[in-house]
Amino acid sequence: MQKRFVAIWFRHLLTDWLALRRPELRSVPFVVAIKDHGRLLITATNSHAESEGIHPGMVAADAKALVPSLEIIDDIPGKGDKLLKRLGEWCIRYTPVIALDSPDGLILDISGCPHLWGGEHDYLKEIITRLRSKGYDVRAAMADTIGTAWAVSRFGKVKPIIQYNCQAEALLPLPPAALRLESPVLERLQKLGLRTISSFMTMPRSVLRRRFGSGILQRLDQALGNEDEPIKSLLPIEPYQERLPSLEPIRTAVGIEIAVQKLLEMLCKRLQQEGKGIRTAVFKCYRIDGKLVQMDIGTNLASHNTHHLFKLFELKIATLEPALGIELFVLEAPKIEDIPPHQEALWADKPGLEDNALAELLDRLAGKVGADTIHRYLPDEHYWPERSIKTSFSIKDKPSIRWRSDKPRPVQLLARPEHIEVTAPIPDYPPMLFRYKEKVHHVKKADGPERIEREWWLDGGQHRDYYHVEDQNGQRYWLFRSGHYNGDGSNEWFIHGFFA
Amino acid sequence: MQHGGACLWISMRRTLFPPSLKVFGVEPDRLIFVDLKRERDVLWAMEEALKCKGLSAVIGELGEISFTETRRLQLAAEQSRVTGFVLRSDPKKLSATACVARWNITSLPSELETGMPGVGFPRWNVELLKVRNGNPGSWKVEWSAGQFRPVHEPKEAVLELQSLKAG
Repeated sequence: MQKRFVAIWFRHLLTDWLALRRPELRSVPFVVAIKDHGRLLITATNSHAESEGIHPGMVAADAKALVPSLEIIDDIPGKGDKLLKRLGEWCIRYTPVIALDSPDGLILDISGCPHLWGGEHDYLKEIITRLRSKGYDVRAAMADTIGTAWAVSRFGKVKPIIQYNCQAEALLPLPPAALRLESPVLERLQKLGLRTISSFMTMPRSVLRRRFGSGILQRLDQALGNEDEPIKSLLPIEPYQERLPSLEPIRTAVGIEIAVQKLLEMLCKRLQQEGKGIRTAVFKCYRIDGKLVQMDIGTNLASHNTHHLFKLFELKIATLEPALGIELFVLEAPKIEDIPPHQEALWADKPGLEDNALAELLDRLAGKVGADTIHRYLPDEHYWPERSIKTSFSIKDKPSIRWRSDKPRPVQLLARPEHIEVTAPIPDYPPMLFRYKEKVHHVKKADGPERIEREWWLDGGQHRDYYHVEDQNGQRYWLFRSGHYNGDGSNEWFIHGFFA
Repeated sequence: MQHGGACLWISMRRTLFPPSLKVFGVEPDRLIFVDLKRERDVLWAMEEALKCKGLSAVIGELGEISFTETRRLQLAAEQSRVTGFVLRSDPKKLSATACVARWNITSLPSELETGMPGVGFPRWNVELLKVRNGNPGSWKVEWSAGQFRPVHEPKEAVLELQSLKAG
């Protein structure tokens, strides 16, 4: 496909933004300046200041001498790039591939997009008028190559749309600066009297390389389309993405639901054909005030079931803020997995953990109350009770070792052992009675001790001697003494669990 | 649960220690725990889970439950034929419920052969307070040699259910 690019130039990016923020600045000359070696250096000017002959790179004091009423505003480092990035994200409605061209431009790869706006002319006009109505003074140009579009947007005087394969004619009358050359090269060209590209474009390549280095040849080739110029897209394109622009801004939950449904149907149809399913999906809404709101979902098993995925999104629609309205919906699936072909069983048992219905239920629960509330445990190779289980992160994990059942373990385990007072015969007998929560329990039967050593390579402290005891009411407890019996009655006893 | 089914355990303050279930023949990794903060969420999660046909059982730990809420859960369970248990540990707050059966289980002192030290097999007094189309009753059961055995009365009740209820 024939490549086409648009280069947008924000002539006064920073000052336009400031004027939008502070309307009183709109009609006065002002500059943005930064401290540099003890003086104020101008980094951006507005159009009024520019018409007075002030340009970036001047010292603020000189500019003040030219225009005594000049206002000087402190520069915010990095603000320009941030602004540009936001504008780039706003431009996503015109094309998915957008690159930043610091400090004051954007490059749009518009191959295959203009016909959606009724042709190249209308497309470019729409971009320019929309940006101008936002308050930015822009110039834009369209061409087959980034180099030519850039050159025409900055230096072109005739028309902004360069027809197919007409880069050379468009470039001929422009100054060499339009080729994005380094300043030493530009100075040398100036010195030699080569004021337009036409004066040196026809020179032999070897001469140009010898005189000006290989940079000029590369830039010339890039502008003419003999060499490809890669661009770094602002938003990496997801391979699984669907877009739905809306005719009028959408503000209601019903409208958003319809958009989700439509996009899911498009995406799931494609995934189904490829035998894949969604693990995570992001639903992005571009609002007309330039902000982006989004909601994301995750699933336990890959799924291309529209109905199920819609239910997951439905739970979160309330969290979106449409504000004045949403004009573009994008559904992306950053994480995709293969779905193994499923075979129907004639006499199915109760389905296990790999069941779709269960996975869908867990997705719904996670969507409503948060994924961190759902736990599943696998055995771990530790004797220490608190460490004998580990959390499983996927529903598909299988236990790598067997669950142990040779030693008695309580049905209920306290998250942290609670201190109890006991009366115990010395030295290693189970207690005769203990007091827990203001209640005295007389121990009638007891088993133990079972000594569990602390894992010294993980943490320090005393080992535990566990006793399984039963009181007069038939209730069974798991008690332990911390450390060895030490003879002076200062041993600490704890209750750690309850047996069935 | 024997045939590889999964089970959902929904609670607010969970103290269940999964490895202990292995003794009672339940694979602890087949249990999925949902720990919620509000009682309302527990009820919602239970109802959603009871509607899901892919589960063997749903267990919810609740402090209080009203008749209307039990009715909802009961209808959901009847639709999907998933067994649901509501565990209530505070005997003072028992209100009327719309469930099929209500059990009251208390632990009993274990018994050992005379003269032997240690703690015997766990024993419970299992009381069936209410059952639809049946008569209530009371049994003493013991867990030994991998199954529930009645202690005095030779009546074999629906003991499978109690393995979970006993927790």
